[in-house]
Amino acid sequence: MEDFRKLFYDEARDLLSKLEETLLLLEDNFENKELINEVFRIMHSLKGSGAMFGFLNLSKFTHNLETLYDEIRSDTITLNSEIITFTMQCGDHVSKLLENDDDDELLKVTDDFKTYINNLLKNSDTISHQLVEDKSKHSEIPTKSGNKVFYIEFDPCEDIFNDGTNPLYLVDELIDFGEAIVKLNYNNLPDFYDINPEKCYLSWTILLSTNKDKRDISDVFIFVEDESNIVIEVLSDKDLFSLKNSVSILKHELFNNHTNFINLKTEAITLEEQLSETDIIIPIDQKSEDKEENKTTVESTKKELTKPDNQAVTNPQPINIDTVKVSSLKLDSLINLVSELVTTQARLITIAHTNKSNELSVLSEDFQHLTRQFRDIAFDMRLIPIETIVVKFKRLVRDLSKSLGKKVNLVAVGTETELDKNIISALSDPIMHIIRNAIDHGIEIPETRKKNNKPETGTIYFDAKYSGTSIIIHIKDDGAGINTAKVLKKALANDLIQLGDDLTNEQIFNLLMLPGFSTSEVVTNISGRGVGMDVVRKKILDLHGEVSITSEEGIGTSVKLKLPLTLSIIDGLLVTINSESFIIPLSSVVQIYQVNEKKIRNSVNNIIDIEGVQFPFVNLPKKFDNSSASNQVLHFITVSYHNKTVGLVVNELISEYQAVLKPIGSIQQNNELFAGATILGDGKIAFVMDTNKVIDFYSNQKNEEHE
Amino acid sequence: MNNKESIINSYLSFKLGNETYAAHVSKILKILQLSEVTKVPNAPSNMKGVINHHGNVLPVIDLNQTLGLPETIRTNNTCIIILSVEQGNNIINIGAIVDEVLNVENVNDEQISDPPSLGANTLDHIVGVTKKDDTFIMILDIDNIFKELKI
Amino acid sequence: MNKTILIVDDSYSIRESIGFFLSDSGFIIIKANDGQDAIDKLDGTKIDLIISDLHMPIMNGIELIKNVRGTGNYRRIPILLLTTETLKEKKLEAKKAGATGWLNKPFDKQQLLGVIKKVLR
Repeated sequence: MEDFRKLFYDEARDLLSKLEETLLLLEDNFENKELINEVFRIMHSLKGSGAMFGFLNLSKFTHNLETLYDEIRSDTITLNSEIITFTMQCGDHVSKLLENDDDDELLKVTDDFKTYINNLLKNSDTISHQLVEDKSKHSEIPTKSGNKVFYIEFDPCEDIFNDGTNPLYLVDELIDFGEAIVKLNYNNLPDFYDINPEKCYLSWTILLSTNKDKRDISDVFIFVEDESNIVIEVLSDKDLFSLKNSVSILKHELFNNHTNFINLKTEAITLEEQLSETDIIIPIDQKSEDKEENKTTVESTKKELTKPDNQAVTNPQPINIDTVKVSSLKLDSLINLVSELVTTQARLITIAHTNKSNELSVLSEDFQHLTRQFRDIAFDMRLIPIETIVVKFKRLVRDLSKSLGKKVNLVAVGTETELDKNIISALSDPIMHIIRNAIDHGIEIPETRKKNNKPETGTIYFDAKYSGTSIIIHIKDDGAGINTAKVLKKALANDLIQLGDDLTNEQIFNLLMLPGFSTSEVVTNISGRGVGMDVVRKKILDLHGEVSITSEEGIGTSVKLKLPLTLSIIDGLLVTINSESFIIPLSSVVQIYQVNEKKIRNSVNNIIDIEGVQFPFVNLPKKFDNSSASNQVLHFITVSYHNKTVGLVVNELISEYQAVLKPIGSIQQNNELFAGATILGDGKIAFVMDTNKVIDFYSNQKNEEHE
Repeated sequence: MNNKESIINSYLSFKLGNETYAAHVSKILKILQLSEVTKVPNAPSNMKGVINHHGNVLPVIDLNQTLGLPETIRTNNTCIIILSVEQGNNIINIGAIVDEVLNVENVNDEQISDPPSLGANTLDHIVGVTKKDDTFIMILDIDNIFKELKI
Repeated sequence: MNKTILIVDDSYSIRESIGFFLSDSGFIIIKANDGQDAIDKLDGTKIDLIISDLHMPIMNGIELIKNVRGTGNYRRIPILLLTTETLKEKKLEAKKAGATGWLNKPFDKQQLLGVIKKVLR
């Protein structure tokens, strides 16, 4: 059951985010029946499923909301923005109940919400609906009493087959209650040629000895009681069937064509008298033994009856033609296996190359082909649309703009773009922060916007799209833009720059992402421009991504995020530096040149000129290990580094390489030069460079050397 | 010392320089021949690099240097012992280079005396000393060594 | 012969839990998200019982019943509606539309099997 509770939990989360989305849409169109219906259905689902999985308070609470939306649906209550806001709060509350259904504090809040709903319902024209607390259905505890004998008539209507009912099953169900004498009445059966095979002409009269009560018996007929004639009477309070000969006497009477309840009742009374006499004679022990025997026979028949079912249990063949929900843990281990497979495959290719066997080469190429497909599919399974977090942003925009007295519209494009789920979940916070900044500092209040000939409602434009193996996300606003003068002033005050430094706009905007920078004159509790942008930058860098800001005063600001599609495999260049192998991620590589060792050696200030272009560079063989620096064959790989192009000197260039990233754990924490390591086909290890950090580190080191 | 360790009284003894040290067997996962270690640029001097151990990338440190002793001189006897180290709530595996692996010794708790309280740096990591055939064996607290150490 | 039951519910957790109970009891289970999906799945498949939710998007339980009763090989198939209504009138409405019976949420495995017993052997 716990597993299903988890399923429900996940589903309820989905429903709640759907609720939020629907309410946001509904806010623009109170009349939209389809959307109102949707809210009703969500509440209904939460109510029904919640109760199934033991979230009783959640279920009761959503029942109230369901009632509310039922009224709105039938136009007795008019939807307004207040109710929508209220419903959103309720959604948040449901989300809390989902975490802890029995929390006393939460229940208090629940009551407040209920009162509110009640008032809404009261104020509406309806008299009928007041919220009714669910009454516990188990009012009666079935008393374990001795057997009684019931007289039952079951005369189904002719059309009973039409709704799929099989009356025989109901008779069978009665027989299961105890011991029964069943009489089939076929008096109404027409002549053979007049029979309509789709109609039911039969009825039954049953004498049933059971320890169940009358309600249990009428429950058997619960689906058919309205269109059928059903009589249930107690023939005797005593266990008549236990009496010798009683069954045959009653049977005889029952099958007498002209019998009725009265005749049977008379017979029963006579038998009852006999029973009380025998009661004295037969010791109680023996009687109960008799009963035991009875039970066992019933049970053994039951066993036989259910035999096919038992076989089914041992060999169940549930067919599932549905989408499969898989736990992300399983996906993760699948991805790990795929990564292992890719590594093993790389080893196979290496062996095939050295062995020069034609057969082996063909086989290994086929295997490579399959592995790639397999890998692509496996990785694709981990991709989820970015839409999943956009809903959160919509809510944020709505709540925040309201509280700041601004009008803001979020336009999201490309939300179907898919990204690795790990990246998506790590992206949520930084993007929230960027949007918060845009609303708080970017978008002006309506009056100001009007004065500046802008539409009163500001727009935040969210755009996600693929670009090669990366995804690019733009978050643009049409707000006030960034005042570069202010930024410079602040940077000066914080000693981030020197007086007289000549900075490009780009460099100025980059200042915003330095730790501790803030230009906001009024520090709000929502955000301070700059406060946190350093954190945003760090988080994006952690995902091997990049951030850049562009802005034009009076027009707006745009933040661009560039992210890899997945974190666990990197397309890279396999190179050697002092005969150790390294991977340089292809995403940052601009171009590759071959250079003369002399040219590197004779360069001044680590800048060389290639084909007329000046490149600053890092001489990796020297930097990594000065003592054994090798100057065999030098290659010059230019990589992009914060909108600049910087060269990296390596020894050999081996090939392009798909690196499966292995965590290097504790090594990584203190050595940020590498994003991870990968195991090559021959079992050797190659580190995967984080080119930005490598350049950061060694160019700072260079400065230190100079000082 | 926790219960598990006191139930099993086995210690792996090894040489660091001229001295004999030991670590509780529960901390030892494997002993490997010294193989090729991939160097890590910009690493601390005691961090010798990484090795591929069953598809995982494992850091390798020089235990001599880690304890403030001179760097291990590599001979045919030089070994890597793979240690299971508790760091906070994590358990990580670290390869440690030692001069020579000696033996598995059974030492009862009574046979372990407190470490000498001299001011030397190394002694912080020693939980006790025992004597075997005229040789002093210093028992290392593996978790403690790597608690402060950044690899 | 294992009986095949089609479970129609837009709630994933309900679908899965009922499916689990029933396949555990030896039934073959087919699942559908809503009425339309159910009708698509009825096509050409041998199905002995439909258990359907009442409120669903696209096509609700009542419409599903009307649809199934209206045409084809399945007009006599037993259909159980899952409902949270405790009001008798609502149930009669379902009955009138052609439901064989109903089952009140919440229910447990025993109740579920008990109701199925009324309509399927």
